Amino acid sequence: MMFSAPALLLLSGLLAVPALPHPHALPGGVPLQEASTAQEVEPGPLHDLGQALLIDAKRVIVRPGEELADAQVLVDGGRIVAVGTGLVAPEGARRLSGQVLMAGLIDPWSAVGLDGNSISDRTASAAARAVDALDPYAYDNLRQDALEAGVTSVRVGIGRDGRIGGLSAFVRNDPNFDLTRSVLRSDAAISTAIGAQPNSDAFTRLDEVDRLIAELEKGKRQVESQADYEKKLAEWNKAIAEKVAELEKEFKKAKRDREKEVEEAKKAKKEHKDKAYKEDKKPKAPRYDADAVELARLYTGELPLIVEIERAPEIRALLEKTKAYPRLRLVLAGATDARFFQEELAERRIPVIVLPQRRDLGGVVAHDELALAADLHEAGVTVLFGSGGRDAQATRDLPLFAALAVGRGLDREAALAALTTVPARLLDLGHRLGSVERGKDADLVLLSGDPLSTTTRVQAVLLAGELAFEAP
Amino acid sequence: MIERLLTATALFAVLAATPTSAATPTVGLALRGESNGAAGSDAARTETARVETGSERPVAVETEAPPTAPPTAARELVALRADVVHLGDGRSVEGATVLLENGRVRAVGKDLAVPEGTPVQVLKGHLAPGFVLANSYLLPGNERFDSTRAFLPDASIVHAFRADTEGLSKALRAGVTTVLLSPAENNVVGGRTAVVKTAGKRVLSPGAHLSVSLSTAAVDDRRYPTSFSGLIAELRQQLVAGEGAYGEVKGGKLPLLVYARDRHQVVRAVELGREFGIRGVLVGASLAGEQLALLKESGWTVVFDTPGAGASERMLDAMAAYAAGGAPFAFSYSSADDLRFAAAQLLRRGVSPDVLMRALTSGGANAAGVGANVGRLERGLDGDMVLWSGHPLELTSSPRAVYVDGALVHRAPQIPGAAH
Repeated sequence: MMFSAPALLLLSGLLAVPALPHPHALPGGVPLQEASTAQEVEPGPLHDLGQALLIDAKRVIVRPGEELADAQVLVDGGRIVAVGTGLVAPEGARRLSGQVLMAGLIDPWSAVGLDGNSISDRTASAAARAVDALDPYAYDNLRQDALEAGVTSVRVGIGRDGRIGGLSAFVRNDPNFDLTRSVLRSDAAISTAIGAQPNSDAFTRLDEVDRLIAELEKGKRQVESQADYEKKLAEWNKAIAEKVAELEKEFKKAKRDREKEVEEAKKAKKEHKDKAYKEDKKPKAPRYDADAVELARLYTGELPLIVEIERAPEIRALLEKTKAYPRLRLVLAGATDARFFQEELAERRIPVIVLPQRRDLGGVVAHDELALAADLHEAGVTVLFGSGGRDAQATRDLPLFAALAVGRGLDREAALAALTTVPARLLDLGHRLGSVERGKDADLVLLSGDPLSTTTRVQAVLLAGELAFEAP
Repeated sequence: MIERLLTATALFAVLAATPTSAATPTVGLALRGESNGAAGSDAARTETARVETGSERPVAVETEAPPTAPPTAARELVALRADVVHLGDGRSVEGATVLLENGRVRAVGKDLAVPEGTPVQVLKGHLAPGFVLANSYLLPGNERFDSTRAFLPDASIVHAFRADTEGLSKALRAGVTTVLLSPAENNVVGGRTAVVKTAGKRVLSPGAHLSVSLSTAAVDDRRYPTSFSGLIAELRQQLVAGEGAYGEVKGGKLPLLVYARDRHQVVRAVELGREFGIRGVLVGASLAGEQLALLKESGWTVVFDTPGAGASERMLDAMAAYAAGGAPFAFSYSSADDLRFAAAQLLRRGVSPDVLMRALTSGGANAAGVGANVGRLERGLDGDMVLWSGHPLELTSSPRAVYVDGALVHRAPQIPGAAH
């Protein structure tokens, strides 16, 4: 929906943020030529360009369901510094114009940048990090292909075939990939898979659920033993402090008594022995276990747990057994049979990363998984799209997945949200990515038409305010 | 050529010549030629062959008269008007009307005057010819592949055609109305292909091509031939001898369907074609775009397989280059979504939607040898049409209704996502 009056509302809303008053965000767009925008905004995590960029678009998708017609977006220092209509470029600013501007697309289930062994690793444990498996010197072409399709960032996970996978990385699809600059999060989630082996039988799969639960239990124990240790340590510290206070209070008397005792001992020609204080031993910290520390973060809901799971029996088992962990942030991926559990998924706010493509991975309704996104959304389940985490090239096709899902009945707005705001929030980067709003990272895509149309071409892509791709 | 193949004797010859094999368990034939009463014309004849494949449910294989048959006495007229009508040759007309008579197209036009009393349906969306796929992987593997013999020149895949195959109805729901059935590429010579409709049990052609495989799958170290050289030597031997189906091929009567995936296999197919005066289609030549000049000059038509998500850039770039290069091409059918996904990939690489629509309709029909029956909305052709909710190549569009021979054979529920 296009509207122009809310443009002002939006701007005034932005102006209400006291920390970042910005001259370019004034309604009417009167520019203050002398203002250097770069100093007003916290520098972005990547490069400080020192040169602003004004993007002019016929349609700005601020966030799904909220759009501006004939609007401008001002980018500086790697961030969006103003969004509105009638903005004028500051002096020296570069210009870019096109039809549709939106936030860069996010693939929350990708394989870009990882080698096959790391993806499927049987022995990876919770503390293993995907970021340590990324090769910054390889796969540039895959990052480039994804970028040219408008996919600006991805979550990549490792250790699919282990009892629990390692820490996922959330990275930018930067063709000039850099391990410090391009990594937005080295602990975006922990991901694993149930029944990912092509010929796994039902008992093996249920066993895999139990193993996963055992890992969660490990996390729970870690939390409990840590809490127990901290409690005991506090008690011990308190006891020591009390004793010290008591001793200090009676210090003079104790000193006199001692001197007297020493004198008497001397007279009696005996050796003087100081009184020994018997206190409890200091409690010992639980043995450091890197895996348990990460599993504890799962248990407390600090990290989301993304489980690739397809068939009804194991989904049922997983949902049943995770009820004992109320703070767990469970996310299902694939979930071909999720329809059977859609009420529960909606009620427990468990999102599903859908892969709207024929895969024949099993599941009762595997033949109709293309309509899964629409059905789940209808039932109130939060839906995302992912490229499946196996084939790195498939990340490039993320926008086409969304279009296919719309063809099978998914609401367009929900499809766009599933590509932008929802994955950003899920991976705890909602404050930086997913929408075209002031203060967010300038990871933006300029398109020749509607994002879900097959004839639309990507005209330009910005990564942290830097032009990473421009169509010839 | 279609007419020739459809004569009762030719059909009988094809059916009778097929040996009983693992692929066609028991073939009981009851062949009758009879005059089509409704048509009331000598030219319009229907041959019905009953093919029993060992199960209790016989499959009726009907072949209808060629579309040149004169209009019947009992005229049933109906007109469909849509926001956009795609003609199948790449063109589209806004707000056009399609006039159907007895299931065939009588006229198409923007301000078409329809005879008085003709019911006119006004439809929202795009009306396009049903997709025609010049190869498919719909039949079960064991019906397409004979593991004991590499050369089966007398086989016909039409015996494996079962109208109740689930894949056919899936294809129909996805807007595919005609498909070519092919033997697998494991057989060097797999026999004759067949062209069938996805609804109505109709066989449009019981022998559109002779299927030949130059792909690596045809070279099997457990049976002869075990090398490419051996394979080509045996093929040449058979073509020079020119008996049976090979004779028809050599004489240009029967086109070839050649599995040629790698570029060197394409070159070999083109060389064989030159040597023996053969034409036909090349299936799976995904890098054909890198051999555009060679293929354009050779006269072969490429039938592309449809890669799903994650297809390699090189392959997609080559496909796009071929599609944009002006040479004729068509697509294989593996799944409805892969098909439209592949089209979307090519659109994103700048191939024109008109070129792709042509390849999916008349291009496919021409490659399958049934261009005179289906693939275009043009006078005399079958009324095989799909009503799409938007442009057929938008992935956000979906088929709302499918018509075969003028009859509504599928209608999508109101809310696509809620149909389970």
